[in-house]
Amino acid sequence: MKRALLAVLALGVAQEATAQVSAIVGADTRLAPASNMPAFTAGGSLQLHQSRWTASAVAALSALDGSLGYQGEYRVETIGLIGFSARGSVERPVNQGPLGEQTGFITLTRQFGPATLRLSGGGLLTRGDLTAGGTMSGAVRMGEIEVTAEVGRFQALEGGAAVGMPGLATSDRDTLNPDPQPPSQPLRALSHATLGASWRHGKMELSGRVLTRTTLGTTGGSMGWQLGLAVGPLNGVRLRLGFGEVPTGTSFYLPYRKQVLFGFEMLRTPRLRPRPHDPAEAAEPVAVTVRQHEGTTTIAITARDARTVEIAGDFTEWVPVELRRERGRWVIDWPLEPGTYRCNIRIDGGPWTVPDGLPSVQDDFGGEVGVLVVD
Amino acid sequence: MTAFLLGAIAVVAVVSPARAQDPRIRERLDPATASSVDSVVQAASRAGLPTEPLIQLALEGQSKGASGQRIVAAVQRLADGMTSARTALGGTATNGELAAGALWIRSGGSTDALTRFRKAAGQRSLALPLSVGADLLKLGWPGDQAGSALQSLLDAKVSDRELMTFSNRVDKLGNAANASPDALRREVSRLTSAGESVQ
Repeated sequence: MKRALLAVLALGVAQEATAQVSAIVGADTRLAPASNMPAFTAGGSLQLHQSRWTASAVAALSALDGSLGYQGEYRVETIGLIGFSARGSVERPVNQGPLGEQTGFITLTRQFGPATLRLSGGGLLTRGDLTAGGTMSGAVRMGEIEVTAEVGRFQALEGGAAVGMPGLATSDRDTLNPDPQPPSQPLRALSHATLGASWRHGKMELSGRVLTRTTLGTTGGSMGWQLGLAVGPLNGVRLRLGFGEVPTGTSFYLPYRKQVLFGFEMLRTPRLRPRPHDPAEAAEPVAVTVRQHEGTTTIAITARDARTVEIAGDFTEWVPVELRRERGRWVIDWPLEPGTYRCNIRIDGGPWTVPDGLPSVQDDFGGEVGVLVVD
Repeated sequence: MTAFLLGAIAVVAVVSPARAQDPRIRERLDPATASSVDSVVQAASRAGLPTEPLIQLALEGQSKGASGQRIVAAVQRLADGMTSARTALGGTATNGELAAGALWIRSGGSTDALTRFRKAAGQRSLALPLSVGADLLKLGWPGDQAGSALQSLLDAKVSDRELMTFSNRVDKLGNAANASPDALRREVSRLTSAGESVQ
């Protein structure tokens, strides 16, 4: 795994990937489920973005009454009509044993104007128990509001006989879960549904979601909810607040927990390549990458501090279409025939501009227009 | 019967030139602007020019909040440019080449250069090269230097992707007035050994 991550990092450097490093410090009850007290948490994340893939790694350490807990996660995802994502996590709550899981998914993503539909299928491995299933998710952006929904189901393989909760003693589970489950029955399947919405205005983002998870073979479902507020970045610092109740995790082992998070996130974008001597190679704040894949053209704009990014061009009949935010970039998939197209982008409702990476010409209306070539 | 046939022919003769106005124009532009744009589109259609670039330019102007007068002038200019570009590039020029050729001319490029580009490019589409050339002119590079640079790149048969890279690098040089006189030649030399021929 370490080698794979290093390879991804090396690839990112070689292919001029953008990177974002963040550090967060605050209070979080997630890793101290047996206590009503929040644990002090400190951690950081590294995200790499390239036109064809993204990779991220997160690590955090929590401390409460002299005991330590930790959590770590990696995620690698390819971008395109058909993509692949892999994710692994390990988590050790304070005074508990470690819980880890690995997932691998094949995803099919389609864009329908402002709506994105994604189908995923794959497997989930937790402590040697393999489950398989899939999710269907969608997102629709309407101005400053984005609505998301997801449903999914995972079924234990081998008839569910191997799936249980062997890592947690009954007493642990009773302590962790306010709605304890019978210890002897194995879990066979897990279904989940999530409905969320976010509202972004200026440098503030308010988000909320409700989620339900149903474990078949044991007890009924459990409901959860989460609210989050992010303000910033202001001088590279973003304030995050979050609280809610989280039902049993996507694996069968992560128990119901109350969640409170308060922290400051410090964002930095390091330079991955040596500073160029040639001024023609100097970095630009807003840049575009274009990629064709199976008849679909993916246009990705790097505009880190933007709240909204719209594109208009010959291919949209010059009707502005909002791009979706995807791991630090603004992305849209559009079925384009080979040819030459004129287009502009608009950030936060400002003037129509041409991002770095496209030839531009005068547009007859006092501005410039970019030339997009699909070959 | 004969009178009926003659009447029907007369009706067809009167109606058929008045092709229906494109609904996009009708719905997005005010009636006066839509009518003027439609006149240009109809004339272009009769002349065998592509009409879609004209309609798209009108929609672009509407999207950018331009006045009706400015939209009509721009559409007329593009139609005139495509006419000149077709003369220079030949009757086999594609719609994209005609639109890009009009852009080249509109940016101050010469029609003679278009003819030379056509000979250098052969069957290759000139849509992107001409757009890159127009970009050079927009940045203030003199027509002869921009034309010579593009000619060298076409002679060296650099790919469209390499042309995009070239365009990005030249864009980052900024306005020609602030760049070294040799900067354009150096950028051409990166892609072709014929860079020395650029004036």
